[in-house]
Amino acid sequence: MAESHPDPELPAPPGTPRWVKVSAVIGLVLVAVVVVVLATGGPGEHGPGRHSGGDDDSPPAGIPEGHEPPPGHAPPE
Amino acid sequence: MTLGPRLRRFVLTAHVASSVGWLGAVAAFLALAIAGLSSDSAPTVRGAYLAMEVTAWFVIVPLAFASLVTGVVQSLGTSWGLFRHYWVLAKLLLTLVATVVLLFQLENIGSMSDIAANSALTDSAHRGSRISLLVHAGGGLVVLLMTTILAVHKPPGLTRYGWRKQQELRQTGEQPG
Repeated sequence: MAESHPDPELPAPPGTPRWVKVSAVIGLVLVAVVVVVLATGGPGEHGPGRHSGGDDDSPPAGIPEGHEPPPGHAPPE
Repeated sequence: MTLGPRLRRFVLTAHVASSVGWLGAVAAFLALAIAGLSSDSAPTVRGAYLAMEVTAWFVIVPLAFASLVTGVVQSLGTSWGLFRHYWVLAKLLLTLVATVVLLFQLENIGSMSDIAANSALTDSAHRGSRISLLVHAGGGLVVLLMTTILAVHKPPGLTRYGWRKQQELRQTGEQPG
C-alpha cells in the first residue's frame, strides 16, 4: 500500500460524478423495494416452504417417494 | 501486474465472449420461463422447466464465473484497475450481485425441474416459484444489459483511489500500463 501523505501541491480530488450518485440512489431504492417485498412475503417469496406447494392448490406429492434431487440441489426444508 | 499485449487480447476476448454469452443465455432462460408460465401445452411446460435446469447449470453458471474471473483479471492486468474507475467498480458490483442471485436461484430451478419431471403442472401449480423464476430472469437480463452498456460507454469518473494512483504515476513519470 502506498503512503498517503497529503501533498499541498496536489489539486483536490474530483467529486463523485452525477451518474454514480443517481445510480446509487436508484440502487438503494431497488434494494429497499426488494427488502419490503421479501419481508411482506410477496410474489416469489423466499425462504423455507416456498417449494413445498404451499402457494397453490396442487399437492406436493408430485414427487414420488424416495426421489432425490440431483447433486447440488438441497431439498427444501 | 500488467498483462502483455497478446495475453491482454486473449483475456479481453474471453471476457467479451463470456459476458455476451451470459446475456444471451439468460435471454433464452427468460423465454423458457415465459413458456413455462404461459403455455397451455403440458409437454412444452414440462420441457421448459427441464431445459431451464440444464441451461442454468451447464451454460449460465459457467459463463457467469468466466465473466467474473476474466473481468477481474482484465481490470487488474491493465491500467483500468479494479477500483480506479467508477464504471469498473459498478460493473464488478452488478456482476457479483447477478452471480450471487443466480446461485441462490439454483435451488428453485432444480425444484421446478424435479416437479416438472415427475408430475403434470397445472396452470396454478407452484405459481409463486414459476413467477419467481420469470422475475429473476428478467431482472438478471436488465442487470447484464447494464453491465454491457457500462463496458461499451465507459462513463468517466475516477474514484479517490484511482485519482491518487493517477497522481502517483504523474509524479514518478511512469506511463500507465
